[in-house]
Amino acid sequence: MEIYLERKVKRMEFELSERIKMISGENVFKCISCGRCTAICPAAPFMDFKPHQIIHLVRLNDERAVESEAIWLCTSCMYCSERCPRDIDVARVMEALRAINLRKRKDVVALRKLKDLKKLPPMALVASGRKYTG
Amino acid sequence: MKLLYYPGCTVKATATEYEKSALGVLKEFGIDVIELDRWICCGVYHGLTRDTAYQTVAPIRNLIWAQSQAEKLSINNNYLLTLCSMCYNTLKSAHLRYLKDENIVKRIKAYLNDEPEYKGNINVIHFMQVLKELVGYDKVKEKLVNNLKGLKVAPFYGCMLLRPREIAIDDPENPQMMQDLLRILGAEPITYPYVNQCCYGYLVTRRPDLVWKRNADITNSALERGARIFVTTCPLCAYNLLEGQKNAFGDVKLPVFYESELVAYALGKYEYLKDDRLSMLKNILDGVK
Repeated sequence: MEIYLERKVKRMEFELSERIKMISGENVFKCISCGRCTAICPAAPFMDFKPHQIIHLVRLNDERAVESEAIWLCTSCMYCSERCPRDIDVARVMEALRAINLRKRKDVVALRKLKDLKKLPPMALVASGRKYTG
Repeated sequence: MKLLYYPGCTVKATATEYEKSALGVLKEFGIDVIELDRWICCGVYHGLTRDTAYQTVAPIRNLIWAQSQAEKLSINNNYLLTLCSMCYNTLKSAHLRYLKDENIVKRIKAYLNDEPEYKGNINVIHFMQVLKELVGYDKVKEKLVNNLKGLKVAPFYGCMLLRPREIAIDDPENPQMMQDLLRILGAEPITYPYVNQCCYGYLVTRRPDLVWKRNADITNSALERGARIFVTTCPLCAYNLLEGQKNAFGDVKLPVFYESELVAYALGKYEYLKDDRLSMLKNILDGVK
């Protein structure tokens, strides 16, 4: 309920929901908060904000969506997008939130310091490079 | 039949057993697989943002090289075979994006000014589709030598073959392609909730603890239903399932095989299997008979 009570709306040139629309092409205002995305999300149990809450934060232009841990736990499995009854591609919204961070050249994983660097499949490393480093 | 083949980085590095068995199986069915002369990493994920083009450049460049080689060798079927689920997803998504989005075409052309134009007619096809649609399960059945009778298998599709829906090789909610093939081989596919779920993929570089927990849950679910092995077609799913078990349980309770390895075994073509994999599979089969 915290989200509803203490929303901090940052005013800037473009509001968060507009920026997300520009980056992902998705209209978060279609969301009816049914929670299907959260129900199917394999990472939801570990997220600080669940996928439907992230969508809601974006709708409120609340910057906590950009700063959340949840967007880095999303693995783009696309199940939320498959299940959404309003045809919102939730995975693209998550990607857009990551992109806002990455475009400020933020890194959330130190690839060079990985222990299993030689053992890991190259696809995991390339994907991490794409998704976790700016 | 000639088929152009895009290998991708992972089957050349950590999943060599997959490449060996899959190409061997296709050879048995008279398919002449020709590896692309030039290819680069597909980039893993064509990019879900709609305002950028750079993530789509690498897959499109590969498709252009495939197109040029098809013209050079006069191969008219336009198929491009992939083994890795992620490569399939990336190349196919990039292809569809190129066809649908005019703005992206302009921007990609700007990146690729020295390459010929992509005509948009390369049909990216996954190994499983080749077996089902180009070879046919009936033909597979005719050639079988060994029966995998009594072997309970947990099929694991992973995300990349099934989602998003427009590129899915089967019904994303209830895929049956792998199970049908397993039944033909004589094995018994189990029904369990994780069949089309995510293994947490590349989260393994950032939060391995969560990945191990997730894959332990998947393994427990399969074990409860009596499975003896996992079968997949994604090298990253295979890695996570295996390492997850090692880290969560201390040993491997359910070995992970590629679908092609089981087919190669059932065909009696042991030379396409690595020695350790073959003896492991034989041990398991001896145990269930």
